[in-house]
Amino acid sequence: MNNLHLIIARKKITNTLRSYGVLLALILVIIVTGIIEKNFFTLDNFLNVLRQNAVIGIVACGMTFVIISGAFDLSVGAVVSLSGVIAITTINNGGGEIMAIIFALMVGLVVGVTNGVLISSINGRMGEAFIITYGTLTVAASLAMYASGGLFLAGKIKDGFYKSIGQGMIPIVIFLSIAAVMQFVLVKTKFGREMCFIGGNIKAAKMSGIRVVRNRIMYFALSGVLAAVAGIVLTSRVISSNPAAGVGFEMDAIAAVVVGGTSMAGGKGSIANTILGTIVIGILSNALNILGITSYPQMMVKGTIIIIAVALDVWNKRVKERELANEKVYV
Amino acid sequence: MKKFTYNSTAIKNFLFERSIVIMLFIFIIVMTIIKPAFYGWDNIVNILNEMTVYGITACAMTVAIICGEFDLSASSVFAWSTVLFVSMTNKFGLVPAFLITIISGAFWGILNGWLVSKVRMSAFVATLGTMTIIKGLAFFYTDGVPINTSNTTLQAIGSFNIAGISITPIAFILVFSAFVFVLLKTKFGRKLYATGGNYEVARLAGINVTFYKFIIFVILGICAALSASLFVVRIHAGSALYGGDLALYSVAATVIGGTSLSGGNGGVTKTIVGLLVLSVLFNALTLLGIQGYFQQLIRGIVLISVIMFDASINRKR
Repeated sequence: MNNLHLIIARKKITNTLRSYGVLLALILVIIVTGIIEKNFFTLDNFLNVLRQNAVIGIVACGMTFVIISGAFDLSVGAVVSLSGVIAITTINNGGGEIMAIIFALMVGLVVGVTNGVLISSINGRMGEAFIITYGTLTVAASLAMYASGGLFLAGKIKDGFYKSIGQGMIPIVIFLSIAAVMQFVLVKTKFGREMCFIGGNIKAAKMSGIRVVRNRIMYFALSGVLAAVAGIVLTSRVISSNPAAGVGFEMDAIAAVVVGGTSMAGGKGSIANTILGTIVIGILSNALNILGITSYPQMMVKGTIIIIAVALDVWNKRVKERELANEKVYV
Repeated sequence: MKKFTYNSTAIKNFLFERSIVIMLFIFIIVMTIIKPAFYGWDNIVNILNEMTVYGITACAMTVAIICGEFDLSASSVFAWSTVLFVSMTNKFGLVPAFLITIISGAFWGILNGWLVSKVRMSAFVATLGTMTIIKGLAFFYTDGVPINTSNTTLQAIGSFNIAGISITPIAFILVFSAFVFVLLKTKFGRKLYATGGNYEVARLAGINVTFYKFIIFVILGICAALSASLFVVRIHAGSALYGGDLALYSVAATVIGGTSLSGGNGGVTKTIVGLLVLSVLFNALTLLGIQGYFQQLIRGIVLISVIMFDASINRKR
C-alpha cells in the first residue's frame, strides 16, 4: 500500500512538472538573471516587459482563437502596420482622435472579415489559410506603404486621449482585460465550445448544426480587429507610425501562442497559456538585453527556446498517451 | 447521344484541370498584344534566368508538400548559404566553398527532418524555430552587412551563357528532370506520395514513413543551398537579407501550380506553371511600368484570386 502511495505521489509531481514546464522554465530564467543582474529584479522592469509585450500579446490573443479553430492568420502583422498608418493619417488630416480609432478598427475588421469569408467559403484548412492570409498580408502591407508613401509619419498632436492609450499602465490593462474576456468566452460560452469543436473536427461540427462558416468569419474578424487594437496601442506610444512596424508580428504572435502550449493542430488551447507564452518570450528578450547579448544571437536563442518548448510539449503528450494506455495498472 | 455527353465532360475536365495554364496563356497573349517587347527573346531569357533561381527550391518544396510537410526555414537557409558561400569562396576557393555550402544546407535539412520525423513536432513550428535560428546566425556571422567576392572563376561562371541563357536554367533543368524521374519512375517517389496521402496507412503498409518525412527536409536544405549558390554566382554577393520571401514564394508557386497542401498529390511539373505565373506576372507588371506598392498589391490580389478560382472549380467537380 505504502508503495502505491509513493508511486501516486511521484506521478503527481511529474504531472505537475510536465503541465507547468514552461512556467517553471520562466521562473528559472527569472531567478538566474535576477542573481546575475540586480536591475532585472525590479517591479519597474517587469512592468516594462509587460508594456513592451502588450502589443504582441493582444495580437497573440486573436491568433489563439484562429489557431484553436484550426487555421492561422499571417496577415496580422500587416494589419498592425496599416491600422497604425491609417490612425495617424486620420489625426493629421484633422479627423479627430475618435475617428482615428474607429478607422483603424475598421481596417482590422475589413481585413479580418475578408480573410474569414475567403477561407471559410472554400472550406479551407491550414493550407488555404496560409496562402490566402499571405495574400492579404501582401495587400495590406502594400496599402500601408501606399498610404504613408513609405515614410514614418509623425502625429500632429501633443497630449491627449490618443497619446494616453500607450502610456503607463494602460497598454497592460488593455492587454489583460482583452485576455480575460477572451478566456471567459473560450471556457464559459457556447461560442468558445463551438470553436474547439470546429478546430477538432470541422465536418462533425458542421453536421451537428454549428454554423461553421459564420463562426470562422468571426474568429478571423476578431483576429483582425485585435491586430488593429495592437496597431493603435503601438502608434499611440510614440504618436508616429511606421509602415513596416508590424513586419514579423505574425511569427512572434504564433511563437507566443505555441510556446504557451496551444497546439497548432487546433481543437484546444487557452488564452491563459498565450499570456504565459507572451511573458516568457518577453522576459527572455529582456533578460538577454540586460545580460548584454546583442540582437543577432538573441534571434538564435529565441528560435532554440521555441523549439525546446514545443519539443517538451510533444514529448509530454506522448508520455500521457502511453500512460493512458497503461492506466489500469494504477486504477 | 451518351457518347457525346461523355466527351463534353471529358473536355470540361481537361480544361478545368488546366485552368491555370489556360489563364497563363491568355495572360501572355494579352501582354504580347499590349507590349510587343514582352515577347522578345531578351525578355524571355530574362524571365527564365530570374525564375529558375528560386525555381530549384520551389521544386524541392513541392516534393516536401507532396509528402505532407513544408519548410519555412528555406528562406533562412538560402540567406545563410549566400553568406557562407561568399565567405568560403574568399577563404578557400570556389569548389570547396560550394561543397561546404551544400553540406551546410544538408545539415539544416537534417536538423529540420529530425525535429519533424523523430521528435514529431509540427513542421510549421519546427521550421519557424530553425528559421529564426539560422537567420540569427547569418546576421551574426556578417554583422548584418552584405559581403562580396571578387573571385574571377565565379565571375566567369556568372557571365557564361548560351544565347543569353545562363548556368541557372541549365542547373534548374537538371534538378527538375531528376525530380520528375524520381517522383514518377521510382519506388522512392511512389512511397513519397503514399506517405503524404495517408501517413497511417502508409506506415501500416510497411513504408518507412519516418525516413520519407526526414529525407524531404534534407533534399530541401540541399536545394535551398544550391539556389543560394547559383544566386551568388549571378550577383557575387551574400547577405542575411537575401531570399526573405523564398519560402512563401515556393509554397505559393506550388499551390498555384495545383499541388494540394494536404499532401499526396501534385507534381513538380505543375510547379513550373506556378513559377511561370508568378514570374510572368512580375515581369509583365514591371514592363507595364507598375512599380513598388501597386505591384505588391496586384500580386497579393492575384495570389488570392488564383487560389479562390482553383478551389471553387475543384469544389464544383
